[in-house]
Amino acid sequence: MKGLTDVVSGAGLSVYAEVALVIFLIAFLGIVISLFAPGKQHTYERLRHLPIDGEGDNA
Amino acid sequence: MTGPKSTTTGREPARYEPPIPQPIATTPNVLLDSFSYDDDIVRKFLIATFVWGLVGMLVGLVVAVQLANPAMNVAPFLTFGRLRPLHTNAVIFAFAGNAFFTGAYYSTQRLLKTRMFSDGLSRFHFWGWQAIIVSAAITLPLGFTQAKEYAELEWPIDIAIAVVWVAFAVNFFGAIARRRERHLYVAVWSHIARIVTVASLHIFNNLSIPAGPFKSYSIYAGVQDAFMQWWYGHNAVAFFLTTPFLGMMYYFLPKAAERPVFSYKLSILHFWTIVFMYIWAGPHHLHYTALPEWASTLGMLFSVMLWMPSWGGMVNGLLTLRGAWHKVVEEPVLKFFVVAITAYGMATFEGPMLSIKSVNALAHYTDWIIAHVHTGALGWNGFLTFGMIYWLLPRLFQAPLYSKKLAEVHFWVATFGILLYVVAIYSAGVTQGLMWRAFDETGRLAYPDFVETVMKLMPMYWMRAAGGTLYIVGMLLFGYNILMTWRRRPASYEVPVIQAPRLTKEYVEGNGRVTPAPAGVWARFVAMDWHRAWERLPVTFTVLTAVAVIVASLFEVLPTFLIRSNVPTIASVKPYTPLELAGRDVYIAEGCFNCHSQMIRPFRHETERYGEYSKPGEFVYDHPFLWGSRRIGPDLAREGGRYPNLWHVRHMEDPRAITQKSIMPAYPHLLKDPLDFVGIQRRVDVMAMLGVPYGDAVNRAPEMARAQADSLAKAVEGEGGPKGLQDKQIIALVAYLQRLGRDIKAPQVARSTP
Repeated sequence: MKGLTDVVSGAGLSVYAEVALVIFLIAFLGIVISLFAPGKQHTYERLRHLPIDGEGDNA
Repeated sequence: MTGPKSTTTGREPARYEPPIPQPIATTPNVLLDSFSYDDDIVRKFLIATFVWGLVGMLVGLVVAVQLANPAMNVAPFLTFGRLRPLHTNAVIFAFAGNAFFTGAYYSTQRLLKTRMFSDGLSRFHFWGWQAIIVSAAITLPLGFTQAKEYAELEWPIDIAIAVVWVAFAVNFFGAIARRRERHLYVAVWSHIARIVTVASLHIFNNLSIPAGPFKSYSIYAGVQDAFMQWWYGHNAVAFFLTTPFLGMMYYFLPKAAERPVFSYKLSILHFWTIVFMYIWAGPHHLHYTALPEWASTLGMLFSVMLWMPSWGGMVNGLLTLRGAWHKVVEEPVLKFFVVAITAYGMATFEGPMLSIKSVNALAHYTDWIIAHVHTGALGWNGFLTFGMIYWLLPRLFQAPLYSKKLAEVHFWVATFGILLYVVAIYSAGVTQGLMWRAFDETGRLAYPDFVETVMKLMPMYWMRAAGGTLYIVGMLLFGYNILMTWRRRPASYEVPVIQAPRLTKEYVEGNGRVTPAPAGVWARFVAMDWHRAWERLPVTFTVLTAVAVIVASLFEVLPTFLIRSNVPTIASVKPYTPLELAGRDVYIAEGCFNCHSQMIRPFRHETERYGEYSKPGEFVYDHPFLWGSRRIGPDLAREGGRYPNLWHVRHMEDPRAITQKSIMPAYPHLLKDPLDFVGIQRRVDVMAMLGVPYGDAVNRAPEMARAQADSLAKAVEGEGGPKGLQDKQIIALVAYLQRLGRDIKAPQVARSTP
């Protein structure tokens, strides 16, 4: 691992950690915005009923 | 649903033949498949959950009592250091693990409208997992450990875990591939995230080189090893104890309340927030240690951000009970769920709070962390499991619950037990943290004798044991209810035959219509079609989830590994001698790291008590790192040279002969058990393979170890100690303890390569 450490240390890659962080935040914000945007309410309504609409509980 | 088939119970020879799917044409475009669910595997996991839960909690009670009364330690196999990992592994992987598998096998089949992919894989998973638990129960008391919290099991068992996990994954993803419900409910996402993430955590944290059948050394050292371990440790909490149990909550709470989840959107947000944020938060376990400042701050920020989504999940759970609160009065199942969700809320508020550096400075190494963990484990994981199993019992054993009243008693006894436990241990944590940092009016430590801070905790330790006892009494009531309900089962279980339409290539909503695609890119985006497309393609969804987790992990972990300036080296720090290395392995086998840290934080009260604060470069040869996470005893980072050799020999033989109030176990066997000098060579060779500059020792480690042991044994004898210790394990341990922290005291020049 020593050789790899030397190469990476000299490459100045630490900034990419911050880039990854920003990309992740943007992706996450995309999910949040689209989640709360109007539309598909009826779909969510069906999906939230999935567990209680199921069969085979032997109840 | 068509008429039920039947399968035999244990009273008759078990034989089950999976029904052959029978397509039934109802309309020209809709074919119905007939199938049934495999509940036999759910019953197996349910019983295993109870059995291992009881075992794990009993071991927990034993170690709690050992802290209050050290005479309860029975060396060499049943000491606190060896039993504590057994307790944590049993409750996490045996109790909570089997509970998750119970819930996952029940809910996944029903949410996907399919039987599991392979009955054979289900059984291989069950028996394989139980075999792993048994092997842990045998090897940990024997002292076989990797010394990494919640990852103590040695390499052969780690490989077995990976194999069984892959079998589970194949079974799970095979079921997804054969599903008859297009949409993957949020509970299934949680299970996918768990399968993928736990596999990554397990593999990367356990990478090691074997040095014997049950001995290995981590490929990482010091800071890197610590970073990797707490990346694992923190995310194991997230993806073993949080997301899967949230998946269970999102399935079983609506079932029990007979109400849909309050907000499906919130559940999606909750899921993605955990996937995106949890993975960055691990470094908060290492505040003020020899960790780069940027990593510590990053971990704190993401931890604080996690508070809101976690509470969003809690609120989502509690609001699911809107209009059904009257049922909580009558139904013990819902009582358990309400307390579980409340405990989740408390633990996920406290977690971010503890990650704030100034709070962490007080809480780290104290019982506060133990209280935090048990709020989550006893309240969230335990009560959610109890509620789920009480709901499942009548359905799986096809008989009414034996006694609802007994379940009510279980609830109240266990709730009181949790309160007694956490109140005691929160008090102990804050008390100890404040005593450690107290100075008197002359500017000296107010409690310089560490044992004084331990004695203050004794009433709280007994109170904790009482709380734990109550929780176990609740478990016994739980077990009795399970047993009596099982005894009421029918001679043969009915196996309902389910019918559901096969999936078609077009997306079909519940009413059978083909949904038209929204027009325009933006319309498709806000309509979440892109997200729904992922869900229809579980492979893509799984890969993207994995990428989110792994990329975040790599960008956080790799800089510490690959950027040299993060771990400045210290010229005077040298590898351990072969004898010291053997002594370090004795230290590991006895589990000393469970009570003693080797990491002095840069606070005045720590440097006054222990000496110079720890530097990252001091640990570059530590495979694995032994910083510890709890100070039941004092820090040992600068232990070398603090006491004479004989002091250590006497102290290990009988701690109370040296410190009257000490609660440390006695290790008299170390003065009798022989040291395996020949085996040291292999260990040195593995260390050399990992890059430790061992020089001449790779050729003659046993001889070098014997020479140092002879010299040290003579020194002990010269101090008035016993004769003939030169080939005993105690000599290696003393050599190691006397080495700790000495290198940095030697004249040296620190260098840092940018």
